[in-house]
Amino acid sequence: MLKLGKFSALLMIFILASAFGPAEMVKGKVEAGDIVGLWMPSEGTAYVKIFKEKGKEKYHGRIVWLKEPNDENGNPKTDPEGKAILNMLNLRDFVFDEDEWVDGTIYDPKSGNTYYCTIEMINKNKLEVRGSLDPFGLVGRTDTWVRMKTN
Amino acid sequence: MTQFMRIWALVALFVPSVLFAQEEPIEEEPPMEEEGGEEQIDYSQFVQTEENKAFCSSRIVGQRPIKLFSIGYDFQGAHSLTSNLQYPNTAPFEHLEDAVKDMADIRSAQGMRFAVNYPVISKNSFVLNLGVNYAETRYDFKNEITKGNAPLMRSLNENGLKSTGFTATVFKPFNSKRYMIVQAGLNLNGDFTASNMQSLDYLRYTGAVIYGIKANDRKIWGFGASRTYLGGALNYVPVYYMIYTAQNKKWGLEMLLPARFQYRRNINQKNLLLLGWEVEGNTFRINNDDDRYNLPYNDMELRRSELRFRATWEHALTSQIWLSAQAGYRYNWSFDIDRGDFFRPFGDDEPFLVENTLTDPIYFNISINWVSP
Repeated sequence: MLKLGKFSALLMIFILASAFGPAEMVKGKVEAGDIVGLWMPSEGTAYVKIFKEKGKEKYHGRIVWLKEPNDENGNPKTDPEGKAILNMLNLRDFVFDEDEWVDGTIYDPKSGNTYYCTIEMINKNKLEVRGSLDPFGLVGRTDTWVRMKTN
Repeated sequence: MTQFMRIWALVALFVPSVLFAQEEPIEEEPPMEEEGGEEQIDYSQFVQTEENKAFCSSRIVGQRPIKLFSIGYDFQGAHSLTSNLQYPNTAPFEHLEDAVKDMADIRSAQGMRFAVNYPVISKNSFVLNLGVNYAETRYDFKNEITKGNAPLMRSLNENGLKSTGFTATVFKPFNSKRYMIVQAGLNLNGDFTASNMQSLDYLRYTGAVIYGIKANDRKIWGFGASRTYLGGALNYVPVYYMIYTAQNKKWGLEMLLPARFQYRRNINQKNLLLLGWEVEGNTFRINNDDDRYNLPYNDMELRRSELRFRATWEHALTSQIWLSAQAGYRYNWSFDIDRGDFFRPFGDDEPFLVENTLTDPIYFNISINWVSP
């Protein structure tokens, strides 16, 4: 019974961690165009410029700066298919729905894989970008991006 | 229906069809006109509006995809088992030297394996994966096993061995270089069946802690310690973890020493070849409830540990569904019986209750996996 007690306690810790793990969003009034701007993913090695497509209600993102633009041989960094990472379009086709940007995809140039993606705004200067294997966002990874400004 | 057909039928049931609909990487860059037009901007002059601490991720380029859901089949070819404890001629007895040898040929030892590894929380600053796994080994003896055979043979013949477990793994990065991995596991192993489940009193706990450094996008390594049953009995061992991809991204190494080591050849984006070894082991309760084996013990545990030298081919059927085919040589490290659960370090000369000999067959393993690429 003692071991069953330990097992139950451990299970409860994991259930609680699952329930309360993700950070609580502090949301204000979010508008579609708030996402436009220059953002830095948490690794701090790139900037992504998010923009609105002309004449459409769609948002995309482009990698416009790399901390280390060249590989060990001095050549521009490329994805596994050999395409240049700088100026690559890595966020595509997001539409604004209530308080988040949905139905888009994110491309990981390191692995060469495309994931389903949803973007939420924590505040005017922080985004939570969740890439997932499934369209429901059940199996995925959330990254925090911060807005960049001119010095 | 053959075992192979059963695997495919189960895969069809369990793998959501939506996975096959996932988009492939985009081939060509379509023209994209920005609202507000293009400007020439020096992005190096920009600074963060808020602090956003950088954290390293647990992944490196070129590494083997992480398996989220796996269903497989494991098959060991013909081998033999020699057991020193024979029933009923000498029972009850107190000493191993009273035992009589009993030998039997095994045509095959095979069974299904399932594993789920779900990222419950996956953020840049904290990752928690929860997993469950199940593996069974059914023994097909060449000759009929009777009450005259050793209890272990009777148990293997009637029920086989089953292992079910739960794991929780935390990856906690401290900054862009340093991280810690903490893993805890619970395992219930034995000769139980669905109708005769094993008490949770026989749960066994495992754990590991690793502290390490992500040197760059091609190398992550760390040192730590583990509480493990991979050698059969409970043991505490230091561990060394490393995943490395060469600069040309055509080969790499993946290891958690001493448990496993693999040389990885990245043939292309859809094919990997792995060569190396893995230790599989656990302690399995042998149930003597109702005095079924007429032995004076009901705390027997089989310390099973095997070293598998193998070649593995991993192939992407789609970006998220990978086939894994493995073949190799299974070397028996331990198949002996102890009483109860206790710490038994390498080289310990404490005698076993029963010492068994298992010869070493060729084996293969095939699995279908839903992966995080």
